[in-house]
Order: sequence, then structure tokens, then C-alpha cells
Amino acid sequence: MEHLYQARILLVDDNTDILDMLKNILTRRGFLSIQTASNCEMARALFKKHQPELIILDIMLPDGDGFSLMRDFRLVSDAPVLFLSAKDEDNDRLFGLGLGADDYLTKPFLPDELILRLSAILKRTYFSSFHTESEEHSLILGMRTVYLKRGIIATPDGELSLTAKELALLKKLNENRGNIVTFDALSDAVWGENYYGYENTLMVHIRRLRAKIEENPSSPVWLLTVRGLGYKLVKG
Amino acid sequence: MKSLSKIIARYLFTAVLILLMTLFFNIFLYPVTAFYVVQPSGNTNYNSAKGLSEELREDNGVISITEQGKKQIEEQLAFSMLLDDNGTVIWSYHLPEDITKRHYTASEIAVFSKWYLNDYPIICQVTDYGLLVTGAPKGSLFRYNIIDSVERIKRMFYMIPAMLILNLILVLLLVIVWSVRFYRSLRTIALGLESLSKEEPICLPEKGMTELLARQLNQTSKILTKQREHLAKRDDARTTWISSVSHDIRTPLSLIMGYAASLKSDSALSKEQRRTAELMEHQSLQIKHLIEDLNLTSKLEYDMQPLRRMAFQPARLLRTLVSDCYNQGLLDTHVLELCISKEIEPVYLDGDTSLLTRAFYNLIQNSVRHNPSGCQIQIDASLEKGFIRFQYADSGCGIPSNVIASLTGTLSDHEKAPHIMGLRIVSQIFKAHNWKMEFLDRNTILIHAKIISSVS
Repeated sequence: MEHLYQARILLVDDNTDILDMLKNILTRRGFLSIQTASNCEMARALFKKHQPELIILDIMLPDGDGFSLMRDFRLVSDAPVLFLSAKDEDNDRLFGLGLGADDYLTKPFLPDELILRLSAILKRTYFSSFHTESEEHSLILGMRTVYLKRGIIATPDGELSLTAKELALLKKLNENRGNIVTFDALSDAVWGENYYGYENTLMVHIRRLRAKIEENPSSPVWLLTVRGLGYKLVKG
Repeated sequence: MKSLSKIIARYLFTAVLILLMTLFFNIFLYPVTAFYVVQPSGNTNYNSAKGLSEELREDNGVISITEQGKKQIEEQLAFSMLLDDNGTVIWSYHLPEDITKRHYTASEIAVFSKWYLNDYPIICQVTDYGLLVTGAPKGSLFRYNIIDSVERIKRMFYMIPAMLILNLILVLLLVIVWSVRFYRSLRTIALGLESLSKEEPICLPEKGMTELLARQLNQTSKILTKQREHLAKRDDARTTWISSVSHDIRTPLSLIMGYAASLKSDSALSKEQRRTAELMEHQSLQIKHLIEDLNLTSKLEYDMQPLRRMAFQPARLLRTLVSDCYNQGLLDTHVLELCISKEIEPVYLDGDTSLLTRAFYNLIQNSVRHNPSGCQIQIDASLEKGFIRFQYADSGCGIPSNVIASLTGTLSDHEKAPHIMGLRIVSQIFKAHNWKMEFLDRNTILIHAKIISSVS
């Protein structure tokens, strides 16, 4: 597969209307290879024939259940599974994820959310190793480019290197770019969970990071402080 | 069981009090009563006979009796006679027909002087004229001779208080024995009542002095068990029904949301048609949230929502929550200020973080939804004597008073309960965690949560 839209997707749901709708949504979003099955027997047959690269699975099926079906698939394939079910109990969700499912979405769902989750799974499973440094691990902040894999910042005046903690902070902020990242989440990323008492140290690292990525660190435009909550890396 | 011990102690105390009062009555009141009531009327014949010797007269060797003496004999006594030293009757008055003898031997005199003569109680008196023998009417006086050793009589004086003390001990022992028996019988009843108050079924032994009480309690227990089962069945049916309906509605709602989303982005449709599709999607989303809320509130109401309790830092929870609200764009037109005091940072609480996040999120969402033109929201967290005090306030229109009354259970009978979901869930979640929620005014809510530990 060269592109995620080429992924072979198997949809399993007992409701044919849902199957039609899902197929319609995925087709409109550009996915090319979609198979649908309304029961376990059909699903097994299609699985054998098409070797899907992603399975969207309902739990309650007329001749079995999605959990058993997933176990069967996992015996012969590592294809990611996303459960899409009307069962919204925590127990079902935990059980499905505990079996090794990659995600669990409850009905009713927003089609956009389904597409985003599905794309994330496909990227994570099939494309993470193909990413080049320039495509996936660089971060452009105005006149500066941060190479996250190497921990280097290219500036008009030359290269600057990031410390391990600065790099961890920047990676966390970049993962949530455009969103507020709390002090706690940043501290967890750098010092691990159950931190306490690192607020001042965090501020020192943020100040040093600003000195490297901002034109004018005293008036930052990329790494902003959100009072009482945390920091935000502004989208480019 | 404390109340039972109290009852038994009171029973014992009352018994001892009755005993002492009876003793007091006997010691002080009985002699008084005996002296004033029994003495005057008890031995009139005897006194009359004793005084008769004063009425005898001798005139030239002839014995006679005064008119007063005669009157006494006629009215109160049976007869009177005077014996000389030889036992010969030298004077008599009113002798009955069954006493015909005119001479008595020494042994006969010795016998009747102590007992009776022909069933007449006899009182003998030595006078200057001889032995005055007075007979009282038959059946009027009781005579009894006591002959005993002085030592024995003396011992009798010691025996009386000893017997009294022994009696007291016996009575006390009996009271204690009955108390213990009473306690044992009541203990079963008390244990039964305790179990009933804990909603546990009981089956008490129906015997002894509490048989009737035990039977009635067993019947009550059966009725309560039946009612509980009935209620549980009804609650279960209601929750299952809500759960089933919400489950069944999810698939058609998925279709509506899916197709609405497709139509919304279909360029072949007009702008108006796409706006309608967007509206459909938005309303479907509302239904989705309503179903989730309905499910959750029903489970919380009937304790069917498992709490995944864990220790957590409330400061982290609040920061993550507020950040998420900003990140999701919920607060685009609103301002949310979070003020966490420094001492809260190391503090840990116990609870289900996903439910508690949901509760605070509902509060924020409530402020946003009911103040569409924007408002200032303020969340403060501070320390207060082993508790964390959360204060949630907004500058918006405030919570209607009937909603507050409904949530605090102060809604009057004639007021109709408002349809509320979001705040009810908030209240239920805090209640499930034993957190105290109170409304300071229409815009301010106070929540108190007990601290379990803090990082040193």
C-alpha cells in the first residue's frame, strides 16, 4: 500500500443500512477498497479472500459476536481492528480494547470522527516507518526549523541543539499543536507520571526553549503561556 | 443493642426501687398502722376480762359484783366465777348451762387456765378473794402458749434481720434471673429490629414470652423483603428498558448522523439544503448526548453505575478539564478562569475521574448553553480543614430557583418538578462520591470533597 486510501477495509455489521452508509462515507472520502459483511460467516469468507488491512467490526452479529471474530482474525493476521458498536458500557469497551482492538467507537458516531480515527490507525500501523525526517519530524517555526529526530534547530544564524528535556517538551507540544498542554502533561512527558514539585524547573526549561525557538523570547509568538493551565504551541 | 441494655438496666433499677420502697413501708408504716388500726378493736373481750377483778366486792363474807361488772359480763363476756384455794366455786355469775361443775381439781384448773373450758377462752386472775375465772364467748379469743428456751428466743432476734436480708437477696436474685431471661428474649427481638433497619431479612424463633412480637416482626420482614424485591425488579426493569431503548436508538441515529454529514458536504445540494443537513446532524448529536445522559442518570439513580475509584490529584483533573474545554472550542465566546490555591497541588482525592470530569464538564456546558451571548466562569479550589472546597460560579443568568429546589429536595408539593438532566447528573455523581454539593446562590455552587492524602 502506497497510500492509506489504498488500504483494504472490511466492514462487518448486521445492519445493511449501516454498511451501505459506511461504505458511502468511506468511498466519498477516497477509500478505494471496501468489502462489507453482515454476519460472521461472510466476514470470515471475505477476510480469507481479501486479506483486509483494517477491519471495522460490530459486536452483536446474528451468528456470533465481534469479540470472537476478532480473536479468529488475530490468529492469522495483525490487521488493526476498530470496534464500532451500539454497546456503550465501559465493560464492553474495556473488554474490546483488552482483546487488542486498536480503537472502540460507540454508535451513534460522527463520520468525521470515524475517518480521523481510522486514518490515525492506518498511519500508525502502516506508515510510521516510511516517514522521512523532512516530512514528519520537522517543525517549522517562522524562520526556524526544528528537526525533532535529531534534536537540532536550524536558524538563519546556524544550528542550535536541544537538550533531552527541551526536546521532550517540544515533542509533546508539537503532538498537540494548536491546543493547550497542561503543566501536568508536560511534566509527565519529561519526568514521568506522578511528578510533583517540578513547576519551577518546567518554567526554567520553557524559558530556555523559548530562547532557542523564538525571535524575541520575552515576547513569544510560538510558545505561549496559558495562565493557570499550561502552554500552547501556536499553529503555523 | 445499647437501647436494650438501657431497658434492662432501667428494669433492674425499678425492681430494686420497688423492693426498697416495700421494705421502707414495712419498717416504718406497718408498726404505725398496726398500733393505730389493729390495737383498739383487736382484743376488747380480753381487756374487759382483765378489768373485771376490780368490780368484785365482799360484804360480810359474801362475794358480789358491781352493776358495772355485771354489764361487762353480759355484753362482752360469757361468764365469770371465783374459785377458792381448794378449787370450789364460791361465786359465779352468768354461768352457761354446759358448765355445771362446782369444783375443779388442780389439773383441771391448770389446763383451762392456759387453754379453754368447754371451748370458752378462759382468762384467770388471782384476786384477794380467790382465783377469778372469766370465760369469753366461744370463738371470740385465740389462746396460744409459747414455751421456749431463752437462748432460742434471743437467737430469734438475730434471725429476723438475717431472714430479712436473705429475703432481700432472694428477691434480688429472682429479679436478676428474670432480667437475664427477659434480656435474652428481647435480645433476639432487638437483633431482629437491627437487621430490619439494615434492610436484611429476618426469621426470629417464635417462642417464649416474645413469641407474638417475633411473629409480627417475621411477618414485617417478609412484607419488606417482598416490597424490596418488587422495587428492585421495577428499578431493574426501568434501567434495562432505558438501556435497551438507548441501544436500539443508536443504530438509526447513526444512519441519520451519517447521512446528514454526507448531505452537509454534498456540493450538488443548495446552500439551504446543506444548512438543513447540518441542522439535522447537530440535533442528532443532541439526541446522542441526551441518550448518554439518560442512561447515566438512570444507572446512578439505581446504583448500577460502577465507580472506578482511584486516588487522583484534583488540581491536575481541573487543569486538564479546562484545557480540553478550550481545545474543543467550547469556550470560544466564554471566559473560564481557573484558580487553584498552591496547597491543593499535592493533595489526593478518591474517586472515579471520568465521572468527576463529566460532572465538572456538565457544569461548564450548562453555563455555556444557557448563556449563549457569553459569560465569565470561575472555578476556585482551596483547602478547608481536611476537605477541598470547589467553588463554581458564572456571571450568567443563573440556575432557576425551581431547579435548585428540585436538586436539593426542597421543591414544594404543589410545584411541578422541572425537567433537568445535566445538573441532575452532576448532583448524582457528587452524591455517589459522598461529596457535598450546595448552592450558595443561583450563580454559585460549592462542593466539598474529603482529602485522602497528600504528597509530602
